[in-house]
Amino acid sequence: MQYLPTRLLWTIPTLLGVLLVTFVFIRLIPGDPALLLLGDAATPQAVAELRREMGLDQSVGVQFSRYVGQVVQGDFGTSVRTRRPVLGEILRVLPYTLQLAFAAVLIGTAIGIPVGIVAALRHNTTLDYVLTSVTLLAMATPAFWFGILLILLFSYQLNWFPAIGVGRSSDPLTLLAHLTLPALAVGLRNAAGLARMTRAYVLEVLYMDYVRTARAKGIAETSIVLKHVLKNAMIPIITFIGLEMGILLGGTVVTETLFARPGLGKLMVDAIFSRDYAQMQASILFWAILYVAINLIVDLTYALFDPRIRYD
Amino acid sequence: MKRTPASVITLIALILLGTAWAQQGQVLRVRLLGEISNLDPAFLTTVHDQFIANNIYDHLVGFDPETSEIVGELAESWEVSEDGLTYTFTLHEGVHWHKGYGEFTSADVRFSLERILDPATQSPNRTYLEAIQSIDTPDAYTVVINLSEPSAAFLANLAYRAGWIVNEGAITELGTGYGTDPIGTGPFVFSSWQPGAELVLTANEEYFLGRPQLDEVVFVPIIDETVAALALEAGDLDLAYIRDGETASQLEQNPDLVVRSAPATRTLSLMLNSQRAPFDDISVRRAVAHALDREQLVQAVGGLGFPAHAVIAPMFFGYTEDIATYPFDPEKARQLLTDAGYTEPVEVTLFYTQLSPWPQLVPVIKAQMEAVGFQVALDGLEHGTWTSERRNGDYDFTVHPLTRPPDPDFVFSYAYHSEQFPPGFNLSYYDKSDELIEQQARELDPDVRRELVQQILQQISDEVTAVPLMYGDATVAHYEYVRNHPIATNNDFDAYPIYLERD
Repeated sequence: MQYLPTRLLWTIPTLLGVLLVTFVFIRLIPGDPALLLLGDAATPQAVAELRREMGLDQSVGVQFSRYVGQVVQGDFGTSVRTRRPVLGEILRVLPYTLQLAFAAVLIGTAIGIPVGIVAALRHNTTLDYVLTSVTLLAMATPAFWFGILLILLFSYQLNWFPAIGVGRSSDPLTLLAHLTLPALAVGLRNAAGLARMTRAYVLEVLYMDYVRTARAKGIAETSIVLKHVLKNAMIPIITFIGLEMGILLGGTVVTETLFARPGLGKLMVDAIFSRDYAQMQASILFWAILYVAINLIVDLTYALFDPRIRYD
Repeated sequence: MKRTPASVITLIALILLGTAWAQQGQVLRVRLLGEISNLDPAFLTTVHDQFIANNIYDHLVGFDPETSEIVGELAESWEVSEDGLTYTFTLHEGVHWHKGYGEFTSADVRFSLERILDPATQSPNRTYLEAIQSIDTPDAYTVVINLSEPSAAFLANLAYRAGWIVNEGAITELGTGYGTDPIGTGPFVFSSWQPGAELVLTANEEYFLGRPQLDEVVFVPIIDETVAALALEAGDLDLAYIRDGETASQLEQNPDLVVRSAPATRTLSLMLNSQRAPFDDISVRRAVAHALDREQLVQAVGGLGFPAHAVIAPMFFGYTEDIATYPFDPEKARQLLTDAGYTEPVEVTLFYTQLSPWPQLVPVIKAQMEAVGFQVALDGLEHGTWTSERRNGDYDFTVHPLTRPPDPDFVFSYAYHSEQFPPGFNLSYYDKSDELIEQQARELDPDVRRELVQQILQQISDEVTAVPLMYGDATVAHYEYVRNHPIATNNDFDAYPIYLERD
């Protein structure tokens, strides 16, 4: 088992790089956190004072070494807006982000892969054209518009699901009910992308020699598709799902805003608008950690589908 | 593919649930226009925080929502010494802190104000209390505040963010956690907060003016106007403040809803940089003031606003309509430019923030000015960037959104005194009223002060470095069963008088 420790060691320079790049780039954005915090009523003296207290009068180099020193000790700093530790803020929104990302990937996979397979098996038929048009349309639909359509139908007209909020943790059913519309908004668009991917890869494998051999042996069509075709097309599909998952963990800010849900994406965007440096850095670093972890999991799952891949 | 049936079943189960989420009893669900940051008065800086905090805390004195006059809150009465330097407040007895933190006394007042004044606290709201020199507490129900110099706006400052009274024991106990678990004396007790989702307040059974009629107030942050309107119409909300005129008129069509508006304590103006060409020429500035059709500008933001001619809104102390105004007169504007010797279009750049509603206003301003002989280039920046770039004073003219409590000193001292030239907020480099501004800030006789304020308004209007465009508007939409809601014109939402009367 040499593979895992080596991979894990390699994440350290990756994350350090993320830390450095975000630290520098965040400070390149024009705008002054002290000024935004103090608002219009701020006197220049008050701004200068607050900048000094926030350590912003130091050079970026000094600020960075100080920051890394703190991070190594597990201290990611305090948000200038809330005056609370930024790590706590991240952990507070993380459950909602994970719920949404998992639910969306689940919906995406459950719908996208079957649709893709059907389109591939019936390629160049009317059914295929219909499915292709629908998936293209879904991919081209902006998230906020699709979300509003869902709210209009399921919340406003039918009153099946609440449009806004996340429900109460004490009652998991309310959590699920609040999760449904945002998860559909993200998940259905995901399903479209996945269906296109699946169609392309299944189609590619479908005419391989070993499939023809399997057919010649008289194996049932279902078995051919699931055991031979899909299993071989699975590696790019898994990669795609992993990438989507990574993006969803931080990139669903539009959906979060629309449905009044907390989440990592919204936390980052709010932090950017108020130039909340500590919150931005920690959130981006956290997102990077999740991304790296998902990539690792994806790599490890390859072995499940392709016995030639072994990690030892 | 084993997951497929399971997820389908889950979906069907969810649909069958057919969640109506009907709330029973006196529970009010209110839209919040943005995310909450911090409910500790020492660190509270956004209007969204203020919207909620107003229900949790009390000031010593506050603004009457109807008349903008100063009225007692925790202070039963107060006296001002002859020289205007000593304020003696007599406090209400029998006021209790939320969640068993004991009885409210003068020591709490002293602690709250001194905490914000203490530089070690690093409170961004310190400026509002700077007039205070010392605070004495001769007995548990008397507070004596000594000022370093007379201040006409002192009570108005106490009625604002920095003046909310907090509990020493709770601050010591909770530390930075106080901002998300606040303890006050107000009509509602903080119950829970799920960031980004909802904040719940419950009735304070022991409120010293009597228990509120609502049992619970739930605040839900919804930034998008369309979603807010849908949520309101679907019954997910009972009351929502609306920022978009189109949405407001759509909600007016709903027979179950009431849509009401009132002028807010907000003024939108253009600031012409009087230190550089071409706006160093008063004729050019006058031309701008005459070129603008304010009615059309109000239409550009969907009718949510009122044409403005003064730099303070009508509910401010000393407001007058009796000053020189610049009616929409493109002919005159063109003439002013010609007389000033301009034969070619006058090239200027409008430097603005992309914060709403400026992106809607700016194109109209450009078109109106170009109709009279200006050539307007646009330079719009994201709000955070604009906020720091404008400090250089490097612009021809820029925009000026100002929301302040209804005392003119908040406007004059911050935006029209030469001490506040950029990097301060005097964006037009106006310096003609310094002495009068200082005088009105110290003047305690209301009649004399009103006279001074009107003189200042007249001078600002004469100089036209600032061109007032419109007063903001507070528009609220709510169900007919929501009764007795005073419109929050200064982001000071007050749930105390509200009750629900369902059939």
